Amino acid sequence: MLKKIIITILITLVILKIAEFASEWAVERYPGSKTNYISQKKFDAKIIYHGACEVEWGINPDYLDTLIGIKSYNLAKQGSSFVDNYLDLHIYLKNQQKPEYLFLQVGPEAFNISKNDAEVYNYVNYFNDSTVVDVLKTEDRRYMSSTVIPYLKFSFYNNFNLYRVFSGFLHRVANINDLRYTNGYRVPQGFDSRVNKPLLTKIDENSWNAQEEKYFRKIILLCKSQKIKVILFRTPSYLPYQTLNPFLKQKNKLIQTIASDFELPYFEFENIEMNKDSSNFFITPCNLSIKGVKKFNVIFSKQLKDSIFK
Amino acid sequence: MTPGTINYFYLVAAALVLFYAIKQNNIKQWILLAASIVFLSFFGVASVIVCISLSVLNYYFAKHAHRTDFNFTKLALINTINIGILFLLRFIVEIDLNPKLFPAELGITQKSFFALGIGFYSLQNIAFQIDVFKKRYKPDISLMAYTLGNVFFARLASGPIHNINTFQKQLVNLPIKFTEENITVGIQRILLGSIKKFVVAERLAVDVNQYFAHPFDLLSSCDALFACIFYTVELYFDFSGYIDIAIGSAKLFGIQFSENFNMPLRAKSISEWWRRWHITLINWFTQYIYYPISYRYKSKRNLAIVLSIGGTFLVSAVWHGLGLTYLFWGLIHVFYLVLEAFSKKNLAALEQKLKPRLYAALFIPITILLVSFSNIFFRANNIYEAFGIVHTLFDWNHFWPPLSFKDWLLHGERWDVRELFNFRLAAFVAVLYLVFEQKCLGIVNENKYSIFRIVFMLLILILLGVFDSGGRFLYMEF
Repeated sequence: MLKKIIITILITLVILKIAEFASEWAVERYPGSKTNYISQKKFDAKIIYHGACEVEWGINPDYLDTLIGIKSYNLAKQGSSFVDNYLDLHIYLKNQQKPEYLFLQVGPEAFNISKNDAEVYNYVNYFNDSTVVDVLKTEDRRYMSSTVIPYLKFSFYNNFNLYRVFSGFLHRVANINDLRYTNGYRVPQGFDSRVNKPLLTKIDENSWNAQEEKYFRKIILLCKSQKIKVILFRTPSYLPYQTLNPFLKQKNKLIQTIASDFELPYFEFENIEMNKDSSNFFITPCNLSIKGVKKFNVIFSKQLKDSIFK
Repeated sequence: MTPGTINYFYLVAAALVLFYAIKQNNIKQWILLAASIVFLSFFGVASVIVCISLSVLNYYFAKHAHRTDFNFTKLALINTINIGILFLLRFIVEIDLNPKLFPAELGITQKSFFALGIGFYSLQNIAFQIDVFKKRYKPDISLMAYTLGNVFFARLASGPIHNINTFQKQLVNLPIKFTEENITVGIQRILLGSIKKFVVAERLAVDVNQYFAHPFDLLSSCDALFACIFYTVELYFDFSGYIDIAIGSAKLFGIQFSENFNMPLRAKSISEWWRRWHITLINWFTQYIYYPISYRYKSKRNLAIVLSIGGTFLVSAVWHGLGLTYLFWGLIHVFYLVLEAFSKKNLAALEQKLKPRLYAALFIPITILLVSFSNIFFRANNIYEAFGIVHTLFDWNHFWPPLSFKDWLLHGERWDVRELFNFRLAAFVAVLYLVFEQKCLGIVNENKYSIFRIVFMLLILILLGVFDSGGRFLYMEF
């Protein structure tokens, strides 16, 4: 009986190990991951825009590059926290030429993990990178302790990873070259079902997450160590949302303190005219519409030309 | 540490090694008790203290009362204590209280008063007192057996509810060596339960939670309908998955638990549903509430039906929780069952008129729909949200989704591609299991060890399971 159980365990472990190798191969080919894109394709950007959805959907490098005249890349990712931002920047710097500037966004939802929490499943195919493993060990111990069992590094977050494995495999088999991250900007998707809803103006909770602050500082330190200039910026948000959220001012003060600690420039766009017009320029209180992106990118480029790229 | 998680299996494995390494029956019981206390301690000090102290209190009370004169006053006293503690702790945990009432600096918060499984072992304690009072059996069981009957880790979190006296008889003859049957059936039941939970329920939970987190964002009756049907399926796979793990874990130690489910999604009426769903709880309510009430009013048949069904589901609703939502859920089932009882003859005539397959094809979906409707109240966070979903469900001006139904259902316009992939996978496995449920249950109860079968089940579980939620089962709240 014991022999049968041991054989069962051994056969299972061998099959799982094979499945793990196959899944790693497939996930590396998953086209819906910006992290995969920046670690596999080469492009020489001088400016990196980094942050969460407000930047990914709000800064269009194709548009800004023509206005400023410097090549840039939008490294931001929807739903990402500063933990993700740190890891993506680390992977970017490992694989790409060092940029001169990093524009790091600190939007109204930054430092709030109920809005943007670390998405560690994005790094399942980067376990050979000691920095990634160290971060995951600190920030998601339950996940990392489960990875002693073969394949659990995938199936622990299987709601995300199984789809990635299938998608990566099918893209490779069909030989589809996906170019969705060529400049990193993405037109916001998935708002169709909400178009008829009034623009959200609900009050945000006062949340400042210490872990987020830790990685925010780590991003700045990483850039300093590589002599990359860091500029903090805050993308526009719908005016009633700002006034309805008393904690945003408090949060802004904390960000200003960190900016002055590191002597970093900090651009805000809280009082510009477009913030009053939700029907034309916003799809959510913090996210710009396509029209809003065009308008904001002009304002942003002007500000940069006046202060940084004189 | 919840059943089905890695830590749980470490505990079971460690307990198994010690259990079969020792020959003496009483030491085996100590091992089970120690493992149970370790398991319980993961849920907080309150869980350990309440469970052990209520077990000791009930044991000595019954012994003492039996020796002297176990009268109705004593029975009322001990069961008032049992019910009082159950409701006091439920009240503290469930009701919105001012956090300042709890000394957080000492590490005590509102959640510290959560006592795992109290709803389940309280019913066992109450039943024990009533049975001793009615002289159905003598309390000649040992304190160890009694405590273990309540605290045994395999069933502590969510049942199945058992008769402590019957359980004690199994403890007297614990197996000395592990047998192929115990290990094979045990492992297979645990794997089946884990697959139900981690492959199906955890995936469906993502969509169900989204629906119920934003009840006023549901756009059409179809959305609301799907929300309640998905929840019923999720609840079945979650709870029956837990029960399979419990039965399998106990089987490894040579202990047999009662079955708690008998393919409820094949029920052709609400009364049949309740004969197939959460069987041990319903048996408890039938024996200690339904029969006494119907016996008392036996001369007035119709009144007896209404009062016994009403009384049973009122107690069941309050047992599930203190919210108004549970009360509505209970009342809906009272309505269903009373209606069914009064139209029994018509339904029987219709069943005879139609072919059995046609009758089943007609009444199985109707039963699922009726149960799913009641489950809106079972799942909703509050009565306001529950009525929000009910309103959308019956707002037939917006019956179809804003997109074409085909786009909504088949092409995933309602969800993004990844969510649709997960949902389809869960739905596929769920439908496959439900169609072949009888066959699957037959296979997992086979007592011959098959390497191929167990490797296959392990691979399904690990390759397709989702493990990030921590594996908390829905019925662990009760």
